Amino acid sequence: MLTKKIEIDQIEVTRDGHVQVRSVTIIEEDGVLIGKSLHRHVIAPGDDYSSEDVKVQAVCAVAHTDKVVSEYKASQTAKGA
Amino acid sequence: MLKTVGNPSTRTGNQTILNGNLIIGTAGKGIDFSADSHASGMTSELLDDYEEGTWTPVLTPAGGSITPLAAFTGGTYTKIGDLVTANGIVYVSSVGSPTGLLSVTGLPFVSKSGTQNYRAGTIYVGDMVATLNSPVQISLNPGSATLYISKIVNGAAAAISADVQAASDIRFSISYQV
Repeated sequence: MLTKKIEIDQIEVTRDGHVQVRSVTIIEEDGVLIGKSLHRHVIAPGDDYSSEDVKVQAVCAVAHTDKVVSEYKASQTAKGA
Repeated sequence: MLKTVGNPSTRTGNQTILNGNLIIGTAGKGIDFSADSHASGMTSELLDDYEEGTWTPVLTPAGGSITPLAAFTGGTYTKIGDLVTANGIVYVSSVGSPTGLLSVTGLPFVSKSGTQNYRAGTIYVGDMVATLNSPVQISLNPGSATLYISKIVNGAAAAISADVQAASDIRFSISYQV
């Protein structure tokens, strides 16, 4: 029987507070791995993370302090964004 | 048979793995090319990472909305060492009076910080509004996972969101260090 599951296998926090998330899609046939693929996205300080996986939400809640968010937004404004 | 050798080992001649992968068992380890000569600005000769996968580009105007056609929207990336190359396409299904700065979020990795790390990519746009006659560019700031798309007007970057319409087709590629 073919099964498909998606798991988050990496959550990384960069020095300036970005949270990098990697998810892996695993396809198995009768429990034997026959394929997998990776998908990534990044959550910047100040981004809405309410729709993220609960583990990612927990990391963002710790990493995205008011100070981190304000410093990141100030840095992007300074770069003309 | 799996054989674990605890001490450093050296072999001469070519090595062939008949059926299997060469697995790096510890993060940060890889293939050391330091025996080769290097440029004066060299910062590393260790190839310590490789990864390929997908990402989802999200086109976001400062005001209004842009809705993509999911079947024709997506991205791929390849990371070799510290160099990420990300490709993407967004096909616009509909718009709701988009205005201002046009950004693309969702990049797979944050770019390297530092004023030497501003980057530009290559971009193709199709089926934009008929009045768009300016060159289009795409850029990435240091310490960011957001791309910015703009048009060049009078020698400077200008907002392009209002030039996007239903059926607009935006394709791009960018390489950057992490």
